Amino acid sequence: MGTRYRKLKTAAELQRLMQAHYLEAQHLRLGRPVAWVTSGAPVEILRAMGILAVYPENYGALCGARHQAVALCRQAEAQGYSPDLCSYARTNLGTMLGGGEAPLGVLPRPNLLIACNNICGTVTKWYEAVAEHYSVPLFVLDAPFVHEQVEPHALDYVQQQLRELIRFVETTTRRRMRWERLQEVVDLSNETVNLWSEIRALCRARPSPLNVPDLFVNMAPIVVLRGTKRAVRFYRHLRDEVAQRVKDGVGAVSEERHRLLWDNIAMWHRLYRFYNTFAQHGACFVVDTYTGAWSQAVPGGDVLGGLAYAYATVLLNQSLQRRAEDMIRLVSEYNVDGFVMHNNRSCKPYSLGQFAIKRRVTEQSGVPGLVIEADMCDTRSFAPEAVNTRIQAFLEMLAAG
Amino acid sequence: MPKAKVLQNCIDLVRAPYRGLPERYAGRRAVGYLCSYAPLELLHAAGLTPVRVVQSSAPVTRADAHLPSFCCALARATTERMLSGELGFLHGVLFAHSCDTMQCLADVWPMANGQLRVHTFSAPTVLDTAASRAYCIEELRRLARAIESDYGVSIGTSALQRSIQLYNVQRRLLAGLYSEPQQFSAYDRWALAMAGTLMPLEEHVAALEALLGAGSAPAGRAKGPRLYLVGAVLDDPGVLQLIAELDGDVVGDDLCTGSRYFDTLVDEDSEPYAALAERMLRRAACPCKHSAQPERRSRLLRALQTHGVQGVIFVLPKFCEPHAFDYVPLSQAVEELGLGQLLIETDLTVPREALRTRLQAFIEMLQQQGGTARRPVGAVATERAG
Repeated sequence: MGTRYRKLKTAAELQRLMQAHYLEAQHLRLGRPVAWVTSGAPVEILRAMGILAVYPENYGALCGARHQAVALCRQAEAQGYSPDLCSYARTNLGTMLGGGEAPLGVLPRPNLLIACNNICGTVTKWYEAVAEHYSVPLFVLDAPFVHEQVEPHALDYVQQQLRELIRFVETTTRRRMRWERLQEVVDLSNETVNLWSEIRALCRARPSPLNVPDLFVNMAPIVVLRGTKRAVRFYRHLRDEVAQRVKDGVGAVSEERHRLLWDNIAMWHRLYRFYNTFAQHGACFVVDTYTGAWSQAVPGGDVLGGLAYAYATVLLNQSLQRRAEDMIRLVSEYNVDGFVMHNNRSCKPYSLGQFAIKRRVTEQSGVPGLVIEADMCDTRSFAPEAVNTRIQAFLEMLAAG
Repeated sequence: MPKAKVLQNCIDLVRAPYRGLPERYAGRRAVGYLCSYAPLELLHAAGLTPVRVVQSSAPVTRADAHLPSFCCALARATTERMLSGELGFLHGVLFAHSCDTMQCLADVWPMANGQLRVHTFSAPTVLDTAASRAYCIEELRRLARAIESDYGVSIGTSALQRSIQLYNVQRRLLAGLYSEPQQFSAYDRWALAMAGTLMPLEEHVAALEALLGAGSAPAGRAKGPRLYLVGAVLDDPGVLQLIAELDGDVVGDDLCTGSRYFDTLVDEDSEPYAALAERMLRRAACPCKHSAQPERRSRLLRALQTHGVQGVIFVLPKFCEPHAFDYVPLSQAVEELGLGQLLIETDLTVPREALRTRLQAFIEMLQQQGGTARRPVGAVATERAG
């Protein structure tokens, strides 16, 4: 049985890229103000204004992967934050309040904060706490949730706030918006996003050249370096390597027998171990919903209008019905045999509606699904034995066809 | 009708909110809602009857197939009600966007029950920008058009103005009720406010007018420490009953089913949609909302000082993120004032005896300490409920 993880040649480049990002943020700021931003914030605006953006969510994932999140969560809990709160938030608040050990040092102190609620309401409250702690200004970009279709007045609202955001950054940092630069950054952002979409689409091949842990590891630059030349360069190399795998018929999992779809954020604390259980049985996660959240390009035309549209309509800002449709489409496009949903205690908007989505996807696509309750970073709410039993049963069912 | 009877009717209604409602509401089209950001005036002006969907203490079984265990009791218990058919008399349900959970519920309900008509209202999260106001007005207008087309009615300006006026009357009466702790116990005030969300507006206004009229004999005010409640929806009056038994004096609250429901009137002289939007942005905010200034904390601090509060009780639903986040700065602010505080985390059921012990200890501590004097930081009774 092929259990060995097939490492990508670009892995070293990825590591260098991300280390350089964190080093730059800590030691090479060159006078640039530092903004802490959420994963769904319009970073293009900040880049065009010469602001250095860092991502506490990405940092939370890093702490989770390095098994340091629980200790940091405990620090936040000691200050009164409920253990039921998002573990990215608790990890970040823990590094901020506790001052304990943290990977790669800690995030540099922010000069300003930008939170967009297109991914959750959690970030609004989390960033309020950060703003209070550091006494730094916070801008919350309000992207109304899209239950049916995106309304023109909601797009106007987001676009108007983008203008306010620019004024906010100008006032707090005395940096001016360079509109030509904004268009360049948006173009780079789109190029990155298109490469990422291309890489994901290559996984339609049988065998799939990538398994979902590859996507999770390689998504870091699309989140934190979107709109930079470095990110474009990296994804070109990754795209070439993945395309070569497809050409050579090399799969991420040797003897791919089952093609699966993953829903929700990764379990960062057991990234490889968890998916290896599946790989041992020839099951490969060829596609997921999470890393697909960064595959929407900014439409052309008026640049702020395009940004407003792109950020107002990210998948997590849309209805469960729309998310179910998206999964049904992925099942067919990627020839998926089954799906696994991570019912993630940390992420309510992603997780609360999963039972409803599961029923609909199975009804309409005919493929079975499995729901696993866990947490993206907090290992205390994960029961490996119980989960393993359910995975084994699911794999046996797939094998029985 | 004697005043005691009016009060008792309200208490009975709150105890069994939907019993006999189809008959009671014969000739009316009832529309459910869960959040106090739902613009009730629009429903009322459309000739519909808003009815709040509240939690129940019935066991949750069916809802477990639709929502995970790490979801708040309000969502799980109301979903159970919906699945049990108890809400079958509703012609629709209006979900106002507040938290991530309400947002999911608005989609989960129609997916679980294909017969259910659901309306959504994406209220703004950010309250204090120029853009929020314009957006909120347009979103109210969109909702109004959706209601008009779904129910085949039209919402005329004068009807909307009348609804605004009547809801303002209700808000004034509720504010009056809450300012009369000599006449009404905290439990009675709670029951009367809750009843208002369950019965037709006109009936509720009439009931409050009867109760608040002249000639009432004071019921006698509790003699214990002056307490202030902070939390979300308070569907279960268990905490209030225990506080009453222990002679605690609840002088005010920051609750979705209390002062946040009736705070701030809608301006009757402005264009109705603009006026509704304005109140939504200015009323005592739910922690789901954001303003550049931490408005909720300053409002709380003002209230604590105005009422000479001795102890604050946070009654927070487990798994409620916005409240859990706000708890930390609010609790710090209370601590800095030198006031006592207690955290009660509620879930589907609250173990009554354990709660009594904790409340008793808290109230005794406040009694011993007396007054509202500043005490050294760190001597505050803060404890997370098990």
